[in-house]
Amino acid sequence: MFRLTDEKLVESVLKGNEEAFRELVRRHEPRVAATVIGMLGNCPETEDVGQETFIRFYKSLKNFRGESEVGTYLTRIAINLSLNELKRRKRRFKFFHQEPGEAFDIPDERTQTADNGDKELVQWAIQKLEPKFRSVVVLRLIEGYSTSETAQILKLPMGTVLSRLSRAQKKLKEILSPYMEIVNE
Amino acid sequence: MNKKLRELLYRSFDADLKEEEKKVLADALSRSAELREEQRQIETVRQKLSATTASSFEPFFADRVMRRIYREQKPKSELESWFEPLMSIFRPIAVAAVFIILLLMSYNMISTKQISVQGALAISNVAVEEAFDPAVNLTVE
Repeated sequence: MFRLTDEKLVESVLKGNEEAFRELVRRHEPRVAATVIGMLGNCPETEDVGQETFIRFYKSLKNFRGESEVGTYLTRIAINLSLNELKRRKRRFKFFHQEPGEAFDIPDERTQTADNGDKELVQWAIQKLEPKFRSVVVLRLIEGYSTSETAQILKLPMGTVLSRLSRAQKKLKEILSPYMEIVNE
Repeated sequence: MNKKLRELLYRSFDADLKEEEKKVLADALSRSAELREEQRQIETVRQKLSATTASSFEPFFADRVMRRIYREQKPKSELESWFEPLMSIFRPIAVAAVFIILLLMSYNMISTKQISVQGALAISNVAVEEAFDPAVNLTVE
């Protein structure tokens, strides 16, 4: 089963082999996790959104015609669910009169250890971006999708993706520049 | 720094520039130390971002997903399938009933001019003596 392609695994699931779906989950968990954690930060909701992504995929398997790769399809679901979660979060924060950005503390320099510290710092900086900028950063710069794939997943014109990317990078540079020495260490 | 050059620099990371644009950018980079510094900083940020890729959920994530799928697929019990349509029928009735009760309570409060629970329920304050006062409550024919 481990050598089967994603398409074969999907066929197998449709024939009733649920173990094949478990293999698909194992195979694509890192990609979905990177998307969801990139979009929402490290918070308890990421697990729920991750599970929901695979459950939506399972329910829509009959309609999956293989026009895009399984990974890309899952990323699209994960991005949409994460954006929904961010909207919910915004509503919640509005209710409690708090800015969403305030929920994430600046990572403490003293507790940062090499890679882990960098990762936390970058993750914190990403959370400072507006969701529309965050999604292009996650897809293009973290997951490594091409600019046209990013445009396809987000259903946006290429020009919009490029301008959002350059604005997001400027913003990230601004946010990270006070910590750049830490980042460069 | 020239805004157009800066835009070109950012775009050079994600899009294929035309030959002419490449030339302009290369020329500007060779002349401007500030633009080179900006390029270095963007590269650093991009490297750090791509290094954050490795992610995973808590261990046994696939098992948890499969458990949820099994749970959602499990056929509902007879009692649940009997109650569900009833619930959907009675839900709008319950909402309408609550609305009517609230309407009646506000009418009571307006007519008794009392903004209190007693006013809402149209209960008048009657003392025990008044309740048993034969002059008020009992008439002998």
